[in-house]
Amino acid sequence: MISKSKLAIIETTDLYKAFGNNKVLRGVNLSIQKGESLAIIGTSGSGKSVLIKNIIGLLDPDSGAVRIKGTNVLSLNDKRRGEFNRKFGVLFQGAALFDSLPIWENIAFGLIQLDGLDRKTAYEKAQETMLQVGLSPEIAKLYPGELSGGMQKRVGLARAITTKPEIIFFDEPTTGLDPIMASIIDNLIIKNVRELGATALTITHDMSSARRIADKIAMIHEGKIIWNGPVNEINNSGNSIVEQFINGSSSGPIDTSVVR
Amino acid sequence: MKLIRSLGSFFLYSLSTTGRIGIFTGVSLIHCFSPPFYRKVLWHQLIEIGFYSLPVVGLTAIFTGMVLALQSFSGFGFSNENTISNVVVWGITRELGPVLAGLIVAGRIGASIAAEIATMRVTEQIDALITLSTNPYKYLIAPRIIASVIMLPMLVLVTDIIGVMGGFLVSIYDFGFDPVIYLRHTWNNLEFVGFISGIVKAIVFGFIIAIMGSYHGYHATGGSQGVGRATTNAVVSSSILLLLFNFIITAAFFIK
Ligand SMILES: Nc1ncnc2c1ncn2[C@@H]1O[C@H](COP(=O)(O)OP(=O)(O)OP(=O)(O)O)[C@@H](O)[C@H]1O
Ligand SMILES: [Mg+2]
Repeated sequence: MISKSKLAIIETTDLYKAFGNNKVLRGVNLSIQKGESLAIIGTSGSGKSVLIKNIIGLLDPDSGAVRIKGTNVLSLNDKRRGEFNRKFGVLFQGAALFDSLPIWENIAFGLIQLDGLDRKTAYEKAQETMLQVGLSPEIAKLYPGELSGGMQKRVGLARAITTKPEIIFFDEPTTGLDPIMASIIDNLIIKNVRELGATALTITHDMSSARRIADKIAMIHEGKIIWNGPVNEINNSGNSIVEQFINGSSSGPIDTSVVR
Repeated sequence: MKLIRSLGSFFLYSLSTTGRIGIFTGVSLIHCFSPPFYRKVLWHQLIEIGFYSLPVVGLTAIFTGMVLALQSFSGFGFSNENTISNVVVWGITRELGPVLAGLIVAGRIGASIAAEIATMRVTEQIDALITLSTNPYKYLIAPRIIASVIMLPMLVLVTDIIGVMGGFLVSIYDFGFDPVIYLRHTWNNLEFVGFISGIVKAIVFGFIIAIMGSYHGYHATGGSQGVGRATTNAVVSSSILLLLFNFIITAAFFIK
């Protein structure tokens, strides 16, 4: 489905990852073109977060390769790998804001630590980014613990985009939010990814969110990508697992009796 | 047979843990001495570890000095300015100052280092640091080690002074000793090696506390329960190591 002629910006080949006896990834092959927005769907515990962590280097796969712009990053040393990390922006599943730092410093962290901006300029830039994600600059000096979940997600989003990354990873950006807030966050993602001209990889359970955000969808099941293709083809995937997932029915090929 | 097997596995487990802590210590040390240095974080830790420990360390010191004077007066029948001041100065500078300050800081700082880093681990804040190309050893661990190694000797110095003052107060007001003579004897009884051994202990204790707190915090797993476990392990292991090294350093200084 994805043409091999263009060079993929992210490509995983035969990625395996197990925790003890729990074989989470069992040969994941995925490729994302520059500027594309891909959503990865899959049941809870299917290894979506583990897959992202293998790509950005927070976990090391047992075997397989991860190529970023054609370079196999697994063979790089920590320092060179760190340089690749500069191209990434990540919104974590639980936002993972630094709770010892005020909101603005969370957002400006990359600007201060990576780009070496002075604190005053960084503060101003953080405020700009806050406006972009619909946060009032008045909360700049509050701490993450003082914000609601939806606001924390926005701060996480702001932190992921301030350094103008080439590739952005969103791990369940809308989970736990009300439908209105979820669609607001979706629109922020679409708008900011487009403005940056970035490539986006979004994990989600939420089909309406996936349809809004993504150009392409890939479904992970039992450690493999079982289907991938353009958004508008997912309703006619011809795959019973995908059908069960997008219809959210409890009977079908997906084993719902045990949750791993 | 079962006993031997469980003893054996305990032995292997201890060995591998020691190895892991050793590697962790080595890596942390490398990062203490190589840039970038996070001065703001270091400053924050210096205040946190040094300044905010002052009240509790000061209170411990004054009561310990007082009780030392009382005990030696009533218990041993020592009863002049020379003997009492001698016991107080020796006891405080060589042993009680560093050990009590160390144990109290282990409870206060060791626990908070472990809890803070463990929380960052289980809420993926450490992962977030890495994705922002910031090395958690440099950003989180090195400043805590440096601050702890700098501040513990300071705290022990304060403990020495306040502890000796506690003994002085009891001697003057309870035993009716002459303050001038007592102070002169205190000064004469103060020996350089004893004082220095206390400061060396403080440096080592500061290192142990920061390393154990960071190690247990960094390797925490499993939610809030994991944070609790990391905190307990940090305090218990640093307290025991601290007492062990207290013995080793004392032996190194005073056994010929
Ligand atoms: N660090 C880890 N150590 C051990 N097991 C892990 C670790 N991280 C994830 N797992 C296991 O890997 C499996 C997949 O986890 P993962 O977090 O990727 O799920 P997910 O698809 O993101 O689910 P969700 O949608 O609920 O977030 C789970 O069984 C989990 O227990
Ligand atoms: Mg997940």
